[in-house]
Amino acid sequence: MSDIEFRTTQVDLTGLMTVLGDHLYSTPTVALRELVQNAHDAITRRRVESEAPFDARIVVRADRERGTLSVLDNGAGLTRDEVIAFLATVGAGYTRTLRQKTGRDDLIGYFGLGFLSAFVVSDKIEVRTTSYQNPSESWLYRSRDGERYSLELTDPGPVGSVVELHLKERFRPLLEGDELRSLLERYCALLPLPVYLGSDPSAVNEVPPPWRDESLAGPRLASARRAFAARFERRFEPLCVMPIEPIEGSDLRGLLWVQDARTYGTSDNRNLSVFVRGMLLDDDARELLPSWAGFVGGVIESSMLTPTASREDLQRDERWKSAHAHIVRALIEGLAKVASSEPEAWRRVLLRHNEALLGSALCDERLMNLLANELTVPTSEGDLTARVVFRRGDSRAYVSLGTRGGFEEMLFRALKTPIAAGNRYGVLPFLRAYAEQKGGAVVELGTEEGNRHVFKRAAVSDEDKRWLESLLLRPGQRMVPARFAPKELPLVLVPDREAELKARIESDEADKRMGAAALKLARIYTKTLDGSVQADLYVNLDSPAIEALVAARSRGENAADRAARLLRALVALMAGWSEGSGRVDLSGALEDYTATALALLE
Amino acid sequence: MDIWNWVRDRRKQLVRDGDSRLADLLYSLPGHVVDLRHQQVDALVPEAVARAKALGDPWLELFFRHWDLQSRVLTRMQGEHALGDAVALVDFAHTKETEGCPQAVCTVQDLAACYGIVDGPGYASERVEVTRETLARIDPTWGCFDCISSEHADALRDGGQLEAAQQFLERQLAAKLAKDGKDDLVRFCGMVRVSVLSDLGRNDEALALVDAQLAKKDDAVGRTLLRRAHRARILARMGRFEEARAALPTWREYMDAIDGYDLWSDAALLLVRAGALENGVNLGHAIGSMVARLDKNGAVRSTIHVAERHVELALARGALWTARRALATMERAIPRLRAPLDALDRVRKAREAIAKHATDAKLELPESADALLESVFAEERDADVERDLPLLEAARARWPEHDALLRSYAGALYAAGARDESCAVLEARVREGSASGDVVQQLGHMLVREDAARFDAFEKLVLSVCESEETRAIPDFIRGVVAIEDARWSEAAARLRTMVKANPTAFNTRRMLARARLRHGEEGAREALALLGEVEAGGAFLRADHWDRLAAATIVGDWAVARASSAALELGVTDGEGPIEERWELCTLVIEDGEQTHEFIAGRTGPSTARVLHVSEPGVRSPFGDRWVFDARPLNSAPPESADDETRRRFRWMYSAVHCLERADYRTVEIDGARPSDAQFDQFIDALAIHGIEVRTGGAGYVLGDPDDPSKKIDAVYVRLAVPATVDDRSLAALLERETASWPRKMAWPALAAAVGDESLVAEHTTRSRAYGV
Repeated sequence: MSDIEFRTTQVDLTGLMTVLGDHLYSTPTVALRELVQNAHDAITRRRVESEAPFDARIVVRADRERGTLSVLDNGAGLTRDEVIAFLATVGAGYTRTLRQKTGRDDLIGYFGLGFLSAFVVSDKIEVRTTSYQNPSESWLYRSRDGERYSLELTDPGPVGSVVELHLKERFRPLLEGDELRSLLERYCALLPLPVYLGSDPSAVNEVPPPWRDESLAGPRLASARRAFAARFERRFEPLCVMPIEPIEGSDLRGLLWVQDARTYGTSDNRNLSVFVRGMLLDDDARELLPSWAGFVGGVIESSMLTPTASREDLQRDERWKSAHAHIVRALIEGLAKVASSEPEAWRRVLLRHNEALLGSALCDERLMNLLANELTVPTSEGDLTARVVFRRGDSRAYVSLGTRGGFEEMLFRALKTPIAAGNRYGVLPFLRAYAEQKGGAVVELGTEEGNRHVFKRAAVSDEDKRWLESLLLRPGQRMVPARFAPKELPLVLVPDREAELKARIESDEADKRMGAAALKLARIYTKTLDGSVQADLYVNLDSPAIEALVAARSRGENAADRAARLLRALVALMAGWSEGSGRVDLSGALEDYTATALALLE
Repeated sequence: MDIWNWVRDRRKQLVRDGDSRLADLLYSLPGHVVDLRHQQVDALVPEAVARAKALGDPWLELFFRHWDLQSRVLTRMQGEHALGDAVALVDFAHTKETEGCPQAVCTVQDLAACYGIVDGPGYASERVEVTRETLARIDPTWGCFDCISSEHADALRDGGQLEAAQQFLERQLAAKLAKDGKDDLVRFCGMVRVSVLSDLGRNDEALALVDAQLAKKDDAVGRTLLRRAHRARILARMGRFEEARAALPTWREYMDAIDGYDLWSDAALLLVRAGALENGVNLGHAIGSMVARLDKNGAVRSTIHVAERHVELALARGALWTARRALATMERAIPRLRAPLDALDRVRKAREAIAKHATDAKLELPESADALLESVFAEERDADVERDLPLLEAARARWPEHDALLRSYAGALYAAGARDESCAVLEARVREGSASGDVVQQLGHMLVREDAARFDAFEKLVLSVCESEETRAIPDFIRGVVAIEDARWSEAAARLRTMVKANPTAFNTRRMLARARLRHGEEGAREALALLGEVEAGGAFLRADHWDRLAAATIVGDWAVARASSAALELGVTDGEGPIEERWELCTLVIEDGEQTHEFIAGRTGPSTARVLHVSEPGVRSPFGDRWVFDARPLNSAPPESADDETRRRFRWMYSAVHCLERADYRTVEIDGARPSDAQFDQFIDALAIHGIEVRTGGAGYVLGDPDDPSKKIDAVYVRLAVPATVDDRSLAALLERETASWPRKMAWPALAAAVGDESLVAEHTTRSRAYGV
């Protein structure tokens, strides 16, 4: 046995290790993935280079007592020179050399950084390795930091390698419970070689992904898909599973599913596991899913996607873009298929994700076509489909933005017209998109156009008009004779927002609040506004009270004035609970009200 | 003060208070804004603002309204349209309730930017002034130091003070460096620094800067696109056209980067002039879309700039009509500018270029309108609206009465995106009172998808000027077609009937009316049969008409006709006579019930009839056993050839139910309890079947508490029974007690017990239920 050699890695590792630790290989799970990957490549190498058949296997062992995690393979093993060349030289992994030499694309590792990642999580690493080229010579490599290491001949062992990590204290919880198994089940799910955990006789990756198992069909295929999806979707149950199959220009294969959990419009529970060359490269590649699919999970494999140097992410290149387009298409087609052939599942998708889908439909026309008649929007009369909203509103959808008081809702309840809640996620733009696609118009209540629809203008004689104005109008108000339901509502006062803004910005008080230049800029705009009318007073000619008021003119009754005071007070009280009605004199209205009541009692 | 610190703290607090929804919105809105996900921004802003208001949190409200404006103004170039909101927000940001909010400063920038978008150069001095005022109140540690400095430099640049802008930017950069100590400031005032350097002719420096910006990876989508366009324009200005072309984002990627339209179109023009980019229909479409969008948004100055390029490019490819349209847009924009400045000159040049082109390119018309249409629509000729429009326009001037020519011209205008002009051309003809039915129809179909008021006006016009009954029926007919698409059957029927009366040969209308009438009971079905009879008598009967005839005949019980239509459609009905009552496959019936639609599994009993098998939850009328006639044209399509067996196995045809032949009057009763053996359960099903009761069970894996040991669970079964009216509650309870007597444990049916009204029975079943932990 020769003496122990002490050597130093040929690259300054201090800087690199910082980078690895901070950004790239920061968890033991990543290190585990890298080591399994190295083991896989070692076996591939032995198969390529050695004629002798062998029964390939990878075993992962956890020793809680000693705090170690080891990965054993019966692959090619390393000679002394190879240990120095590959294990201890950054960036010179053998895989790249081999891939270039053989053109094989089932080799996973690429950058040779994989092994070093293990140092981030370990106090010490020991590697025992025996090369198939020289089975009688086994080597023991030991290092604490990857930079300085010792190398010595050791007791002969079988061909292959054992990498043993003495995990740092804080990473030892990985060895407890089922965490390791669950990790390996996901990481190795697509690896063609069997990977065993401890002494368990069945491999963690015994069950192949459903899209690779050609023997599956019918109900067995469906349940295999569902089970495979459930393994990757850790937080929710998959509600329906949709396959992705390769198409021209994209080799993507895999599964997408809709999560069985209620989402809100902005929930983002997307998750996508991406396998490249059989190894899980990224278990959170959510960006590959469309941003509107906050309720979708998936697992895909592809050999065309390119990992970034960190090997934890994918390069956003042209291939990434076509993979993205492929996934979007598969998702939309998959949903369409669920809609047409799995009515129960589809109902559930709509029930669970109606709100999120309102937003999704806006983002993709194909989806809008699929969903236009299916989604419901919240209205004053419960959740209704857009079709019903438009039908009930005579090809118009009335939307309340909830920024005003409730008089519009009162009017519309009387008309039995549903009012959509425009302040809820996605509702207003969805209805607009629906109207654009199917015809019809969206009327926003509280806007000038909305008021035109609500208050049907009507004509009165000039004398009646002047009489009503003399009784009902206050300075700054404009009277608009109209007819509207309910007829019990005699008057509605609608403040003019623009006039309010103009008054505020052009007041002297604004000079104290705002910078001179900012104010000047704001006033350029308000100068263009006509502020003479501060509020429109809609007078309901259908109201018996107004009818009586008009009739009183011809009889010249004094009581008309008292009635008008009462009505004016009513207007003020109603406006009082509308938002932004700071200009309404509430206490004055109450005084009027009380005085009139007293006068009636006299 | 850093707004993001506040956002982080506020978010944590919201999560602590249980308002995770608002907490999500706080983070997701800025992300959507900078990554140009405009639709998502629009989807969530109304909700976010409403929630902030409901919470009475003016800072939050300010934050959301500011980010809404960021999206609408800074990235989507809404100028004139957003001014009111921008002023209102500045006002709101300077009230007592919002005092001290770090986002307040940004609202001034929103307003300045909004003016900058309406007319950057026109408002340059005010923008310089207002940003100077704001900069005096903040220092380089503020998050908005970058934005306000950018806006200031941009205003200087718009005012033609390039050198001053450059010096200012250098000072701000130095100040930022001194305060921050960070050496990596390539993205500080990034966009405007690149613009100014390039405008000063210092393209090498501009290129180096934009490259350094692009090399940083964590950029927002919108900014990356703009930087790439900047890079393309710089390279083009340097004469490196091939590289520039490669650097320019495609229109498809770029569509949502509205704030970069000016830049992109400028780069594209340079490339076309150098022969490095094809000046084809696609480029024309891209630039035309930009002009339309900017114009619509009220980004007045940019509209003029991009439209000017549109004129040059259109003339270069011989698209005179497009150039004229772009010129008209420029002319309309001029009065909306604060000050015309160089815009008048730009318009004049464009006008001259168009006039010169028009005299150069004399259009040659053939001898007749028909000959012209024949040549324009010749099969071997590619459709090119830009090329054909001037021809059609000239031809129409020459043969103003020609009907088909008018319609082709209107169609071409519509295809070219000139919808209003297209409608106006047809409308003018209708107004003259001499329009053919075809013209009226074309106009109606264009308008029906527009605002409802426009169609109302069209209808009024037709009724006031057209004399022929057939033409006067067109508005109703079009409304009827839309009603059919929307499944508004009653309205459709009423509308379509006008045309049926007016035109005895309107066979297609008769077909549609027949379809609509299928939903109106036996009387409707009789009318449908009569209408189809008229179609047949007119020699226009098609194979597809058998579908409706089949449904109608089934409804009225005319089995001979139903059988004949089934045979014509080769539906595989067993030969014979009388009612068709067979056992076919399972299907899904879509039943409209007022405003709701239900989908029920049903057993098909013939080509057009099915019996519902769905057992509803208790408490609602059960549809079980109802017999329906459906429209035998399926609503879904069969799985593709490549589909797996499971998909095929689970596949069911889906049909729209049109008429209920018989209501079966079943009710639903639930029972719950320990799972019996399979044999016991089979026996139970058989025993109940004798009384016409149908049994449904919930899925496997159902467990209940063990009545003997509450800590344990036992295998259980949940059963729903569809019970016919012939079995009353009391006899049902007795029957169930008897038939489950041998089961391992007593089953529970408290609701049934309550319905029977026997108090001891109720007590007994409530106890059983509780023991199971239900």
